[in-house]
Amino acid sequence: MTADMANDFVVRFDLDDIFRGGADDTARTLLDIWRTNGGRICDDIAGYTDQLVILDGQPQKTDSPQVLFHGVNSLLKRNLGNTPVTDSPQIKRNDFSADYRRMCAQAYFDTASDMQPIFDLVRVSRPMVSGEYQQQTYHRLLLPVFTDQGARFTLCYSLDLEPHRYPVANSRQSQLPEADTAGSINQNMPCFPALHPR
Amino acid sequence: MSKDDKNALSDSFNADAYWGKAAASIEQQLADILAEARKSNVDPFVRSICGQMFDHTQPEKLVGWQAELLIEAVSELVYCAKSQLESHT
Repeated sequence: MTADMANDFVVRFDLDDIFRGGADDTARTLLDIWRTNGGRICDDIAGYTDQLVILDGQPQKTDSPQVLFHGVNSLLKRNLGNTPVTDSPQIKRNDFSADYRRMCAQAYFDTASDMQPIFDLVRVSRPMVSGEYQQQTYHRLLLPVFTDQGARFTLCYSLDLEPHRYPVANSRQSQLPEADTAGSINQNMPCFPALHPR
Repeated sequence: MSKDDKNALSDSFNADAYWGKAAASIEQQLADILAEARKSNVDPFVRSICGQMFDHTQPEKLVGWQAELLIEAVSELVYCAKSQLESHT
């Protein structure tokens, strides 16, 4: 463990906490769909891929699973996906720090092994190899899903608990033509940026 | 080879090489990936991702750069499903 990790933690919560106000409507809906379909991939749950990260669902004990896709509205994409270092359409497992990957590996292993959802709280001080974003605190709902043929994936829905950040300047997103539209503007951006350094 | 090296190798999946990008047209590559996605039942994800990117859920209608973007977005997912199923058989 590095000194950076002294305040890092993963705390597992009861799944029912999601229905007791511990998460948002999306988390409740995702868990409802998962329970209704018993984890089988269906159009209903696939309809949320814009907010999800899809990972390899085969259990791996020593490392977090490979990231296969991250939705445009996922926490990963919103907070980490537009940094200059990760200016790529796909974020790879190796973009994450080794400490972070080890810290998160157990929950991924458990959800993939038991084929049961996990709801937890994660705080990490240095999630990326690049050193971008010194702290992340988020709720995480992991949903193991499978196809009829037996392919397995883990869906990760994350709910940001950090104060909202500014859009990243010079990022891939800001270079896209639609970056000037209202939809790409962080509506929660503070009014006085100088008082709220990132 | 260290564990990290192995992870790096598994993460550096070369979609271009796997799907024969040099040999086939973009549209043919997309058709191949969509066929594979249907076979492994991950097509609901592919349609949804298509919807995110292009506001419709008919990936088979994409051509040119749009087809290329979708291939880039879904190839690792489809490849992962395919390799899992192959390892079962």
